[in-house]
Amino acid sequence: MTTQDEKEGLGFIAIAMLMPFVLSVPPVIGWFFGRWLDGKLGTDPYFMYIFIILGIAAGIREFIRLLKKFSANI
Amino acid sequence: MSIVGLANCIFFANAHGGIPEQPNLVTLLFNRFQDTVWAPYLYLWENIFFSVLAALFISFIFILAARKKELVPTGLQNFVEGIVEFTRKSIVEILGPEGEKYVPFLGTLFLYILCMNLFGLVPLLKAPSSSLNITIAQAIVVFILVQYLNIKNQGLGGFLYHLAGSPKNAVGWMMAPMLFPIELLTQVSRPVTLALRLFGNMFGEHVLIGYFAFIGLLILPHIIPTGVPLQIPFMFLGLLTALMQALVFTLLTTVYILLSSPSSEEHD
Repeated sequence: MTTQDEKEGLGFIAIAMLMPFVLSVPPVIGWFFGRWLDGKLGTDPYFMYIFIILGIAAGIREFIRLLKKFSANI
Repeated sequence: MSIVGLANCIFFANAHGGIPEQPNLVTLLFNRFQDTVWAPYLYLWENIFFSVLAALFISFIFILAARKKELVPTGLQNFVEGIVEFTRKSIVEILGPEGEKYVPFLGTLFLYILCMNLFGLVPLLKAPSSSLNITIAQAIVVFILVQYLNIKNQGLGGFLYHLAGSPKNAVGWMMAPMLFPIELLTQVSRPVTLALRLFGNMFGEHVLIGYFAFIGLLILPHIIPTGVPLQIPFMFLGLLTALMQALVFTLLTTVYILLSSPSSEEHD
């Protein structure tokens, strides 16, 4: 295995380890924040749904961004 | 006492939430000196104790290696120089020549996490990175550094503009109210992701090794009273996990630093 192959392999393992967390954490934070905002404003459950959707979008955006950076550097 | 009772005593004496834990120096001291003032205190600070121990160990090794510096390194100096060179090269490759100034921080982070992870594989020691408090503390340090660099490189106004998706025309400004919370959620989720990933992997490994060591004691107790070391294959796997987790944490921090630089925005 060459050094380039090793680096690529390492990069792909790193991405595989990251993927579930990068995609799942933002919607959960969005859910918490939305619920907190709903509690403060009495708008239950609208902000919760809005922030879950924004969280999913944030997760996908961050994942694509990291994928680009990792693939550019390996 | 039966073998099952003994195994229960060893592994579940200090179990948190019914999860078997391999005995370590602190839990053994706590079980032996429960009536004293210091033992419960030490047990309460178990993870902090092992994380300080990891820091002291790294400091000791590096001081020892740098004591007699030779032009052609041998022995410990050679080993330490190899590690430093590998870390420096990996970071500079991603960040470019400007990344040289982050090598001390990122190198320390890598070695510290690696050392803490490997502590879990040494008898009588514990991996402090299997505690969420320790990993959250590290992630918060990284978060503060990245936010500081964001504001330093782009200015407060520039950073807020970046959070709004760097709008350049009317459509961009119309999208800004939606992109701002998305970017804010991304920034907040980064330390959470860092902390949870390291904690989850290390805690999982810790539990796996604990369970297999526990089962190993219960297998053939009359033929092999010391137990079958079933956890050994998972300890080899643990070596790989320890290295990978330290590497991923450092790589991600490097990428976050890279993303905070003004030049990276142009390529997004």
